[in-house]
Amino acid sequence: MNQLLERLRKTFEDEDARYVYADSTVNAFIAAQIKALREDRELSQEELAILIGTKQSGISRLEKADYSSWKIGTLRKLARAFGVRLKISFEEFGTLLPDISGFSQKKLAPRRFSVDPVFHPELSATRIDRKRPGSEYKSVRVDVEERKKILSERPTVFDEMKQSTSGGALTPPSYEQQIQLPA
Amino acid sequence: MGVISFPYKPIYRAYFYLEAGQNVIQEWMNEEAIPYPDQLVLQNLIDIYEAAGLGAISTYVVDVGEGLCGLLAKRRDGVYPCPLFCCGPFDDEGEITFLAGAFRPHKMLRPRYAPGLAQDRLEILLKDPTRRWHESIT
Repeated sequence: MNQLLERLRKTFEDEDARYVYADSTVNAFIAAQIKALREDRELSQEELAILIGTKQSGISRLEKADYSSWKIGTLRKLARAFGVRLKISFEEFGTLLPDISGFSQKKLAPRRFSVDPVFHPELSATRIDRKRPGSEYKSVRVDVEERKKILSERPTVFDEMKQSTSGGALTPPSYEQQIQLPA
Repeated sequence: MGVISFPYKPIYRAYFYLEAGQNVIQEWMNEEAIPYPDQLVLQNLIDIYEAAGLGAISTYVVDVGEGLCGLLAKRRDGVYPCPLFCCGPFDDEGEITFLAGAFRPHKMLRPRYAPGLAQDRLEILLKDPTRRWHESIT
């Protein structure tokens, strides 16, 4: 049993404490992701601001420590600017530990759609080294003007997307239910 | 009995300088009456560091000069608690050591002597590696 889990079991007995800790984790993850994705796409704060229709100071604020006033609309715009999808879900507290260990570069800066091997199988034949500077992945640059044009011409489709209601994934057990699980 | 395994395995280590056997950051938090939720945020950032390194919390780290950094925790009334740390000093890649407590109002450090105090402690630590400990602060 690792020390972190032992400590969190004790800390999380207090409801406020577990929500403070969980909120801090998600805030840190989003801020780290925005910064990692922006740097991975080789975008300045100003360039990213243009892509999502805001000011440089707005991006700076999003990347600032302890920012927590996330708006889904802004996150959607950022997802589109980075060429990735936005995923928001309610989770069990037990997934916090894997989340914390998931602050890796791979998780922080997922591939854009144009190099996603699921939709571009021809790319899977070529191994892309994500860490090597100058790799194929890194060389795919965002054309700011092109992206700006796309964003201005295309209405958002995310509002039309409906969540799947199949399975029990939408209703994770409460913390109380989780800790009552048999040992 | 079933065993649940988590992929969490600390890779990096956060240490705390000891003064008279006491964790100086814990002492500072107590003296300054840092609210428990803010202590938890600080602990959360340290946990993330231990899992993924400084890059994962880079938006919370500020360079305060002279080889020292500050970890910005939750801001209250425009002031960040900002405990000072150095990378290493015995393994620059895999560890950080917290040396002194400080606040950061308006991009300045309070108290002003905090970096100097951290430097003094760092010198002592370099001579005596037992003057630090790996533990949680909450």
